[in-house]
Amino acid sequence: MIGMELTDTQRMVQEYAHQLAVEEMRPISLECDRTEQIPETYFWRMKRRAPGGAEGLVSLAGRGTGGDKGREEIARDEAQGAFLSVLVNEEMAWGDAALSTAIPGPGLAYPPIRSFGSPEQQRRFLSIYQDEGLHWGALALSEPGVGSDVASIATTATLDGDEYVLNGTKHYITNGARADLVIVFATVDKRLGRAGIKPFVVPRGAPGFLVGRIEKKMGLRASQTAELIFDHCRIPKDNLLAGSDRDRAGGFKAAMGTLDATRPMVGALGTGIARAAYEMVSEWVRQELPRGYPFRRRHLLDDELATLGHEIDAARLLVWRAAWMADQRMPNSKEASMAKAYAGALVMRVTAAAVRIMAPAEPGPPKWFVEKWFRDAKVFDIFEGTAQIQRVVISRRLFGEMAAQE
Amino acid sequence: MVGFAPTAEQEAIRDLAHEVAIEQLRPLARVAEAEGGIPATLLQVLDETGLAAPFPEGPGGSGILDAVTLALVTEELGFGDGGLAVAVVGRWLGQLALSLVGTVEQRQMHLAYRDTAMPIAVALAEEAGGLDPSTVSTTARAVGPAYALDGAKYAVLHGTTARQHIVLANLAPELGPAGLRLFLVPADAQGLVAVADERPLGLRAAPMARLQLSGVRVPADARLGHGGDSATATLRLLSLYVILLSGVAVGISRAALEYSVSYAQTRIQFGRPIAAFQGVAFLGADMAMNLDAAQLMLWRAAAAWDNGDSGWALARAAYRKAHAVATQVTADAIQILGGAGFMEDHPLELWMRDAAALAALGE
Repeated sequence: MIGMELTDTQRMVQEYAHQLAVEEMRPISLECDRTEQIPETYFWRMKRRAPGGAEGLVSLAGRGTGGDKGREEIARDEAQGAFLSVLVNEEMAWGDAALSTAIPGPGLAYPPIRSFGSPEQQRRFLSIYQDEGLHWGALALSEPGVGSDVASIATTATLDGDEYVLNGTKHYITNGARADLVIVFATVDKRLGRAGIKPFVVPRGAPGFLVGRIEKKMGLRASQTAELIFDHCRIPKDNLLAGSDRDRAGGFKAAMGTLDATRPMVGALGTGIARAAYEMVSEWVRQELPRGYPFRRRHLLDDELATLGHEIDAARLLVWRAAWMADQRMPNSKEASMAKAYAGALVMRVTAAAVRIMAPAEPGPPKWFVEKWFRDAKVFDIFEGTAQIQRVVISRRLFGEMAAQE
Repeated sequence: MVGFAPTAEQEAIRDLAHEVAIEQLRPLARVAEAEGGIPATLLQVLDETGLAAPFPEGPGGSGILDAVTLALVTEELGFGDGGLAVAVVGRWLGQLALSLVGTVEQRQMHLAYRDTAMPIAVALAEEAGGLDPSTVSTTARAVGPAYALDGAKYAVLHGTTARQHIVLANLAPELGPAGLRLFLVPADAQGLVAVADERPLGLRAAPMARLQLSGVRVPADARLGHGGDSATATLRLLSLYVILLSGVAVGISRAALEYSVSYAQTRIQFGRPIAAFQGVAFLGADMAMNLDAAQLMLWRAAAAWDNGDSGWALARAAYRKAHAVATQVTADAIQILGGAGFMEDHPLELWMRDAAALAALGE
C-alpha cells in the first residue's frame, strides 16, 4: 500500500526523540560546538533517557505504550527498525547532529557485529552496552591514503598463533578515542584485493592500539573525530567477525553492507539539520525581518522558503523509502544512495540560504545556530560516501556495471 | 501507514495503463500531435479498457475513485505520451466534477456525456492566478432564480469541442475560496465565447482554449452540488486535477529517463558506451534521483487526498516538483542523446515541449 502517514507508535517514537532534542541537546548545542567538549552530565542523561542510542531509544519508546498492547507494538517494531531509526535520527539532528553521534552505545560498531558476528561474538561484544557504565563503539574504515576507494585498505592483519597482529593507521573515526571497541577493517592478504578485507574487533587497551590526533573541524565540532594507530596491535584470533569468513568477499561486503544501512540514517540526519535551519530562518523572517524590508524582496523570500520546505519533504520521503525497503528486506543500495545524496545536497542549500537571509540579524543564538548548522552541513556531502560516490552507485543500478568507469 | 508499494488492485490497473501506453499512446503520439486530438481508435481502446472513466458511478464507469490509483494511471499514460495523457485527463474531468461535487440528479442528467465523443470541458484555471483557489476572479451573481457568470478562463481542455462546460466561479468573493462553486454552462450559451489556442508549444494532442464569459445566464440547478459543502468538494476537485497533472509530468520524466538510459548503454564513442563516462552517468543518476523525489511527493499528495485531506498544499507542492523535474529531465535526456535528441526522429524533443507546456495547466 502507498501511504505516508505515521502510525501512533511511530509518531510516539518521533515525539520522544524530539523531546530529547529539545531538552538535552539544544540547550548545550552552541557551547559544545564552541568548546569542542561535551559535559559528562549529557552522557549520563542520554544513557538514562536513550539507552543504547537510537536503537535503544526505539525500544524504550515502545515500552512506554505499556501493557499487552505495548508488547505487541514492540514485536511489530522489530520489523521496522530501520524506519524508526531514521525517524529518531532526523529529530536528533534537529537537536544537534554532533551530540547525537556521542550518545553512549555501540553506534556504528553495531551493524557489523549484528550482521557478521556469531551469536557468541554478539554476546561477548555487545553485553557491556547493557551495563550501568558509559560505553561507546566505533567503526574504522578510512585511512590517510584510503577514502572513497575502500577496496585499497592498507591496514594489515597477520595471523600469529592465536592472535592477529594489526598494523596501520585509521583516521576520521567518530568516537575513536572514547570507544570501548572499534571495528577495524584490515586486509589479511593484499593480493586478494577486496576478498582479503576483514572486520576485526579491537578493544580499547589492546597492546599496540594508540590514539593519535583529535581533528579540529569546521563543523560537527562536538563530535569526536580521532586518528587511531595500530602498531603491532595484538588481538585474539576470534575477534575476527566470523560471518565475514563465510564467503570470499565477506569482509568487503560487511563494509559495504554497513554503508547501505547507514546511508539512509545519514540522510535523515541531513534532513533534520535542514529542517532545523528552515524552521529558524522562517521564524526569523516572520518575526524579525528588518523594518522597511522591500515588499518585492519579501515576496521572493517567501517563495524561496516554500520551495525549500518542499525540498525538505522530498528528502525525507527518499530517506523513508530507503529505510522502509531495508525493513522489507529489499535490496536498497540505489535508494539509500539517493536518500543520502539528496539530503546531503539539500542541507547545504537550506543552511546556505538561511545564513544568507539572516545576514542582517543581530549576533546571538538564532544567527549562531544557523551558522553552526551551515558549518555542520558540508560534511553531509562527503562522509558515508561522497556525493560523487553516491552517483557512481546510482548510475551503476541505472545503466549497469558499465557506468561511470571513466 | 507508511508504505511504498501499490496494492494488488492498483498494480493491476497500472499494468493495464502501462500496456495501453506502450501499445497505443506511444505509437499514436505523432499522429495525435498532428491531428490535435485523440484518434478514434484510441477512444475505442479507452472505452474497452475502462480507462475512459476509471472511477465509479453509473454505466461506463469502472473501478474506484482513489487518487493514488489515478496518479499511478496518469503516470503510465504520461509515460506513453504526455499530450494524449493530458487529453485523457481532460476527458475525465467532467465526470470527476460531477462525482465529487454534483448531486445525484446532476450526475444522472449528464451521464450521457460519458458515452459521447465529446466530453464535458471543465474550466478551472485563469490567466492571472492559474489554479490557485484564492485568486479566482470569475464571478457568479444570483439574478432572481438564475445566475450570471462573468470573467475569463484559460487552458480549458477540449474547450472548443465540448458541448457542455463546467465553469469555476466565485459566488461570494468576500468569502475567498469558500465562495467557489461550479456551474454547468452549455457551449452555446449566450455570452460564452471559446477561442482555441493557436500553435501551442506542446501538448498538441490536448488542445486548450480560452473562455470569455460576459453575463452568461444559467438556471439555478446549473450550480453543482448543494450548499457550502460544494466549496470543499470543489477544492478537492482542484487538488485532484493538480495530482493528475503531476502524474503526467512524472510519467513524461520517466519516459525521457528510460529512453536516454538505453541510448547511453548502446551509443559508442571513444570506444566505449557513453554511460561509461561519469559526465553522462552522473547526469543520469541525478535525473533518476530527482524523478524519484517527484514521484514520492506525488504519492504523498495522492495518499493524503485519499485520507480526506483537501490536499491543496500537498498537491501544489507535488506539482511544482514534478513540473520542475519534468522540464529538467527532458532537457537532460536530450543532452545525453546529443544532436540526435534535437531531431524529430526521436521523441525527446516532443517530450521536452510537452513538459514545458504543462505550465499552462498546472501553474
